[in-house]
Amino acid sequence: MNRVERTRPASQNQLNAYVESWHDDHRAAMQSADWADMIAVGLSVYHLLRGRDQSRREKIFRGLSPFSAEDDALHRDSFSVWLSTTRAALLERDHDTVDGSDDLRARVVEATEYLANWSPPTVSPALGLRELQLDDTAATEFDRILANAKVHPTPMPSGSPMQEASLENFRSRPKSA
Amino acid sequence: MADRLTALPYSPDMVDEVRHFDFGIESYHREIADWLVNGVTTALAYGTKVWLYGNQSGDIVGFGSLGESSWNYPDKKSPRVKVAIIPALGLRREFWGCPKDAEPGRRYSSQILDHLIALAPQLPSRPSALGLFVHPANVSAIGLYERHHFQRFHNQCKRDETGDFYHGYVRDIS
Repeated sequence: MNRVERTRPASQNQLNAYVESWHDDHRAAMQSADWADMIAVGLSVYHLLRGRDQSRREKIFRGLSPFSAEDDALHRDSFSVWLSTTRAALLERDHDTVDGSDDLRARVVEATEYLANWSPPTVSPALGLRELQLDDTAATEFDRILANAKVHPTPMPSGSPMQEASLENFRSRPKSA
Repeated sequence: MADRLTALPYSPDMVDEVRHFDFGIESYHREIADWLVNGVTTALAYGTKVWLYGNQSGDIVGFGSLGESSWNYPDKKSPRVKVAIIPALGLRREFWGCPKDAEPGRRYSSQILDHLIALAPQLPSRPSALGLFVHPANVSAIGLYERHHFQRFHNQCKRDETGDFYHGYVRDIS
């Protein structure tokens, strides 16, 4: 059993089905109707993999899930498997104009870059961006601060809002001494 | 009239502008510098906004950031409460206490914090509170936050890399 087969969320099942449909029924897949299906499935599986990986990364960033090197390898392998299968399929239909084939080619480029720049997710170094469980005392104090503010509102900054500019525009402005 | 800052929206391709910034020599100062160079890209990807701040002489004096997080209470099954967060804020060491002739409320550090406080209620979740974490030894930052109505509350967060606990501060922004 390979790494991809060890965990089977929906995206992995669909990835396996996508790979198997290519290997087991290669000739049939070359028929136009089946090829259109293959493109649709390929795109769908790609978006599932990206969505699942983004969700995993954000949970780790927010401190909601611990980082797992094994899980990270599983996700990377999934993209590799999808990429090799899709590249092989596209190679045989190099000049194809079936709807979605350009999109699939673009996803191959995207996946190649994604894998080349792969970096394991990490928890946010800025503590505030991690999601927190307040203990009873903290929760009581937080509620008290907000309740007090309803009676005695905390002043907001007064005066005109700060101007914004692009760095380029800022650099081109005349400077005061 | 005090030197008014301009906010410059930050993107990762501007990293060479900030790589040499010196925010101080303490570990919590260096963490700020490291975050701006290495940690900011991921934070931006998850919705945090970052600005550099330029003065009227054309110098970039520091940076500020504003994001969102969720706090669970009173227990893990409770709905998460969205809060605005200042993940990191830094004033370059050469601009500490500047402009020298300005009253405290018009110094660069206050202008940066006022900018972030003013924008916090406009975040997508329309949060009613703004929080941050500060190292307990960073007394000048704590003084700044308290002057801007942040209150210490019984919430602290440990940085595993150093073992240091950071204190939580929060203020109302509704």
